Amino acid sequence: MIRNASIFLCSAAGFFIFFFADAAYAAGPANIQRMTDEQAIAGFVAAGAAYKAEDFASAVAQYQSIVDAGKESGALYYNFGNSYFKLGDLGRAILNYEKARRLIPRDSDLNYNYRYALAQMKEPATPPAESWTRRLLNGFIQFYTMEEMIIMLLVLGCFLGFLHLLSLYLKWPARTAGAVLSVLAAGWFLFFGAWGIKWYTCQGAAVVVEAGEAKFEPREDATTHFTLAAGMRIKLLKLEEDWAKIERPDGKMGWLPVRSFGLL
Amino acid sequence: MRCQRIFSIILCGAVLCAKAVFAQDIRFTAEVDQTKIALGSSAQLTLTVEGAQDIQPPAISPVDGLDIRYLGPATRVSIVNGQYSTSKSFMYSILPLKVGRFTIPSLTIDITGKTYPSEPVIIEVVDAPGAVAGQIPQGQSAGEGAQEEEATVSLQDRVFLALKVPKDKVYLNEPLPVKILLFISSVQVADVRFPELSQAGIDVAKIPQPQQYDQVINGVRYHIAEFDTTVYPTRVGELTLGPAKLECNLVVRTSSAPGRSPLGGGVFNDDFFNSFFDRYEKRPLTLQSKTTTLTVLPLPEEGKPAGFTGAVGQFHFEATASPSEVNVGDPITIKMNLAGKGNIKAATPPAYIRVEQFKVYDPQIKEEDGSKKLEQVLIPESDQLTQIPGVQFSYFDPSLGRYQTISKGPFPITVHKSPAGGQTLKVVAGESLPGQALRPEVLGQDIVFIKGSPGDFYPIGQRFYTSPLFFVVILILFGLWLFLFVMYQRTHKIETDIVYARRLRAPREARRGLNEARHLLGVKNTQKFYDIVFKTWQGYLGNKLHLSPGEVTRETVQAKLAGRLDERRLAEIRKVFEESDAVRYAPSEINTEMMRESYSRLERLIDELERLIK
Repeated sequence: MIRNASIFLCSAAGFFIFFFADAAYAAGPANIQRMTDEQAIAGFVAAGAAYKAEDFASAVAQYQSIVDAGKESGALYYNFGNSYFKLGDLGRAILNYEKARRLIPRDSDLNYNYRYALAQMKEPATPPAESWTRRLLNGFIQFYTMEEMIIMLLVLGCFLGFLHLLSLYLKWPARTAGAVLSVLAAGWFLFFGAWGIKWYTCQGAAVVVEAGEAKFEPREDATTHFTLAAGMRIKLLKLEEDWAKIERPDGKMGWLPVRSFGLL
Repeated sequence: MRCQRIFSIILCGAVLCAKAVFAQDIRFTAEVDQTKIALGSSAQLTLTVEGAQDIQPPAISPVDGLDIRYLGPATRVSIVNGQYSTSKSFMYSILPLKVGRFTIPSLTIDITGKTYPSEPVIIEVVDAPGAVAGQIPQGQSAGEGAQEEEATVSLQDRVFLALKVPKDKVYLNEPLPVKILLFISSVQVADVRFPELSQAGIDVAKIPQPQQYDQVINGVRYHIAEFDTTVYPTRVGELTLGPAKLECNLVVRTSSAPGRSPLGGGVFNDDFFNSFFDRYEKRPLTLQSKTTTLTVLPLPEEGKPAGFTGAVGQFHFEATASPSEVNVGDPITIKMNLAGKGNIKAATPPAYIRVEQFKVYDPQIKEEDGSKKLEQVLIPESDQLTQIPGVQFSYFDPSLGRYQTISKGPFPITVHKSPAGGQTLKVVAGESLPGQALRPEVLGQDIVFIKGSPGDFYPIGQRFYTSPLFFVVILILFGLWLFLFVMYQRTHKIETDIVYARRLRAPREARRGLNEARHLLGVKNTQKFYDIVFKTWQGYLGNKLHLSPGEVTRETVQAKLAGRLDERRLAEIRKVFEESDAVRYAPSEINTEMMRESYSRLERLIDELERLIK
């Protein structure tokens, strides 16, 4: 009965995942002029040619037009980040590398450029020392995209349900069925947990595109609380007109103009 | 009763035994298994107390020339012709340390306040195993003293350790070869460990495997194990070297098997039979050499070079620089090798610390096979450089009594201008020795070039899992699983729960019976109609209430349904049963109207019971 209940819960949880995933990601940018894939590819090639000609400003404009038209890809954000890097805009370069990492997290060129860009920050982020388990978990979470995780959840869920029914109808020994289903359920929960963490960390995440000062109050003339380097990843807590309450990785909170950061 | 009898027997036995013990005379004797033994053999001393049990081993005062060790006790109990006797023996192993006659003096033991003495024991130790011929009767010459004067050969002459140093005056840190010699003659030694030689103010090099050879000294053949090592005095003044200590096991022959007469003589008391019956034991032995005094002289201040770092001995020093042609910013590796006889640990190759117009990296120094290797990276910062300054290694040669200096370099180099480039990053490999590992790698660093292919484009914010179709597929899959699961649960319950299965079957079978009854009502077949009606009613109640056909009676059903149905329905149920009786006993009174009423009642009752009884 417990096994049946756990299977039921797994399935129910899967159901709600997709429900929330739908709620979280269905809302895309509104009022944009969609372009076809062919048009997007043409724009991508043109931007690449501008980059090769070292006309980085033109390349940035071309890439921006594709994004504005509602298209995105990992390579697009990667090239976009490269163009900003060449223009010396480290903050926007890192922002675009972060966006690319959502789509092509295992791309070695991207990871190299991303780390290199982070190393160029005036105030490099010094993350606290992490245990090996934490590093392993972070590596696992970073390894897969959200889409891949959902596919894995679906496949594992279907497999779990299928094997569960098979074990019932073919009257497998309880120990065998329990072992097989437990392993699958553990895998399912692993992906579910990783997906949840990834989803949570992406919520309200932003990258500072212009080095600036976080204020105690959402006013230009307010006292500066702390400074933020371009490229630093922050968390958005609250929006209030042109100001956002943000949290720095070290936990400090302050108010920053919305123009100073870009959403992931 | 049986327990009481056993207890009485045990009690009587114990009383009798105690009586016998107390009745027995107490005697204390000392004896050895052989009174004449060869050096390198051992004898066994047995102290026996007869007539007492609870006693501790008597203490034996040391006897010069004998090493006596307690082995353990043995108890003997015997009943001969009803005569009970006990004795307790304490065994000791006697190892002679030198040749001579030795007397183990009279020993005493206190039992219940009374002192019992033993006879003294005399042991004669002869030089060679072949000299063991006659035996000396026990108890003879008790008052002759502890040992005789003519004892000249000792175990220390047969196995000993010696420390040899070539000279007694040395310089500070001067390597001094030392020999530790283990001499063995006419005895057997096993499990020889490496000697230990530790002394404050003196460093001792690792002691290698010994050389082994035989040598005749003063007419005696010795088997010699020679441990060669080197010591380095690290303090000025008079230092005592030694003693060297070595642990081993002496293999000694112990008393022989039964049949060997302590009185000597006989056909079995020759070497062949002795060796056949003898057994051997290992006795741990710690050997110590004598000490040696060393006079450690300070190194002379006269002529001491500026770069001298304390190396004493005779050394070879080599230094190379490669490559000799580089660009500005390229690394040049300096390799130095220092070897020779001396305290290599205290010697350090002369590393570069600061060289004008060179970036100097920390040296990597490794000691291996009695030499020191140094690798150091220098990076020229100017194309005007033509050479790397030379290096000098100084040491003190104790055989010459003066300082020596070996110079290497300067090393000519050609430095070209660095090709135009942006920011450079110098990466120095972590692994230094051996091989090329220290060669630094100088890399430019920049971001990786853009990608030529955009990959798959996605509409921003839209993914496959946000599509309603995907959502529907998930629901269908979940519904399918749920359906199959519920189906399984139902089937499983029907298979395993007979009550549930009958209850489930009850309305279905009743419906079938009612259909048949309705048909019989149409054709007015009264007898058969009521047969079917009552059979249906009986079958339905049996399934519904999980009763066997024989149990479906008015009383049983009333009892089962009492409290679950109201009185009106219970009355109707009674009516059905009464009809059954009426048809059986007065069939002529049945008419069509009654049949229709019976049918309606049955249909209504089944319907109500289905709704009310779950």
